[in-house]
Amino acid sequence: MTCIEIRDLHACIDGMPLLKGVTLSLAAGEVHAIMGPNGAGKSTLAHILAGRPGYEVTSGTIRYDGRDLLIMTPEERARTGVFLAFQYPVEIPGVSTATFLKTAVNAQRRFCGKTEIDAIQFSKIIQEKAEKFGMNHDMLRRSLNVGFSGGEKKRTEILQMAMLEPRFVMLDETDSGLDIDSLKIVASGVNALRSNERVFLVITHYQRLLEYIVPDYVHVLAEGRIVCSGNKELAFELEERGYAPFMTNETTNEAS
Amino acid sequence: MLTTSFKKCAVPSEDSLPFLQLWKEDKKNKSSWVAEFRRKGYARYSILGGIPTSKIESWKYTSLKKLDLISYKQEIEKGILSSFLWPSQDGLLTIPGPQFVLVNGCFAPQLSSSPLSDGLIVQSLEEALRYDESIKERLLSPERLPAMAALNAAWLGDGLVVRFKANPAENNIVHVVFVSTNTNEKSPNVTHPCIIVIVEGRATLIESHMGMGAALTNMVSYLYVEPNATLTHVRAQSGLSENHAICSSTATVASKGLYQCFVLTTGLGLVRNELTVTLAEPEAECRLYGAYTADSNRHVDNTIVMNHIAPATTSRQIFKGVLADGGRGVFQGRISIHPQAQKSDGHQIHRALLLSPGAEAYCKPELEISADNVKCTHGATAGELDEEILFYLRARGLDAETARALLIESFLSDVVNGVSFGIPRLPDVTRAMVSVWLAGRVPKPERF
Repeated sequence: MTCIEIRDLHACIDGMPLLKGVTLSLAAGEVHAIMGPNGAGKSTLAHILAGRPGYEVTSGTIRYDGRDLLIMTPEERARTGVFLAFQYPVEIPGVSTATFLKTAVNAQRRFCGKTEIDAIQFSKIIQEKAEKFGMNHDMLRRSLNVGFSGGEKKRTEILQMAMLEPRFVMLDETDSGLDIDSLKIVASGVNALRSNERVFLVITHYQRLLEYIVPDYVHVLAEGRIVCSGNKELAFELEERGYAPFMTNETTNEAS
Repeated sequence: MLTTSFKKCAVPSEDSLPFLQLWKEDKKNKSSWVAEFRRKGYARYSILGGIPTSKIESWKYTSLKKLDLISYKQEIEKGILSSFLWPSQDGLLTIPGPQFVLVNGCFAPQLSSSPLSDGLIVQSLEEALRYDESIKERLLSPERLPAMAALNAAWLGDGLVVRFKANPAENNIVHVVFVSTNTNEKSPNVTHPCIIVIVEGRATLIESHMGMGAALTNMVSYLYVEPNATLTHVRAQSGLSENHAICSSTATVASKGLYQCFVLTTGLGLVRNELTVTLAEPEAECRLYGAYTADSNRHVDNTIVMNHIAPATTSRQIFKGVLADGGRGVFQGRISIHPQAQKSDGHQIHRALLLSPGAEAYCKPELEISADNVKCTHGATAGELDEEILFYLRARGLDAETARALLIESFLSDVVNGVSFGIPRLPDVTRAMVSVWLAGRVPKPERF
């Protein structure tokens, strides 16, 4: 069953075109990886899917379980199961990780017509999950991401994902600035959530992350377009050959 | 009841004000200290040109024009309000400790706790002046006062004298409540209370202002922190916007004494907190914290003068303001380090968060350094909510208004959550005050 259907998506920021016709179909149960050089539009695609203000979609459509995703607010998307693990998670002094997550989880539950989780129940659930990601009680009580290392911030993102149990997960260069231990923990968190109901879109520069989160499909995004798609073998190929061949193709196509 | 004209303020006649008893005794002695004090106060007020205007440097950003002070009248009736229903939402009153109430500037013993307890003496100003000559010296001479404090002297009415005796084992808490009433619906009410606080041990003064009907409280307070003593002071201002407060405070800190103060303003119409701290003897210390919110044309002014007179004195100031919809915030902070105040350390910071286009923040730091071996720094910022962070919160399912409210709380958190002074429940109470303000602004608050 198709979960996300992107058709010929064109988008720009301040008049500068970033996506020039992206077409991509993601079905429930699949893990897709998007790779590509810097400035190819990978993060742009993830941010547009999450609803970040500032981008202008000039043409094309995105359907999410049959609904028009582009008319939904960021919070509506989040509450119906769209989740973006940020490349640079923000710091919020004075708001503890636990308090923040409780607010987020209950916002989602209210939206879905469920009762809110009370503090005691919530604290039990979050502590169980946090333990799996090597996060102790103290980290949950500290202000969100304030004074966290790069690895701790990414683990917190994965904890949020585990708490919100989204349907469509995007990981935006979650491997950047991550040591190998954190990388393994992040990957195990993602793998634990893989299911027939869920779709993952993993954005990365490097093939390394894909050794731990094995994708079903790999796409190359270059100069605002998907220029090549394949299975996980494509990632190894890219590691060897780099992105240059694809960029040449792209330029040639544009010229013709 | 009588009328005051702020411009042509006649010196009050003796039978129209409190202090009747004192007045009679003065007469017997053929001197009237009170009349003389008031006359000097009025003379000073007149010399300074009456109601301060924006032509006076320290009033450049705060205009009293809108208040139309000429229309204000003074209500001095002792003993009204024999019973008084406390507004239950004022969380500060839930902090344990004796309460002392001033109604329209007059001490109301029937509404107050017992004035005597271990290490604590509380008297009305009149009573204190009658029995203790030394109290007169604790009042600053009117010739040295700024205009609004001089006006307070001209109308010297009642007030409160609180003495904390040396008893370092205990932290005495006293709660002073200012209530303004207005029985005359046609014109707003003005009161001129005067407070003297003398601390020998460790003490906490909690001050809250509440009003019923349109009123201005023009308060003056003198705080004395004796050697090795600590005064912790919390001032909470959260009334209706038809209530205004001009508070002129002078704190004098002696050797190794500490004065620490938290001013939280989430209500009232026009607020001016003018505080002059004198670190008079070596190793005296002062820590000031302030948080304020101003919207809907409200105006909040914190004007601080920090005088480092003696060597090795330390001061810290951190103020944060949230401004929206025509709200105006003013911060004027002067740190003055005198030539003999070597090895002193002064630091000041003011941050303003502007939520909408009509909001205004004015910040004027002034450093006057006349000694060469000192540390003195200041910082000031003004900014908007970070769009990046707002998007992050919305991408986690928080609606835009909830996300904004969370970020406002986050902005104020180091002051509002961070300042507890060891007073039970204080951060809960101050957080609740901010939440009440936010709930009034946010159309559909989704609290957690």
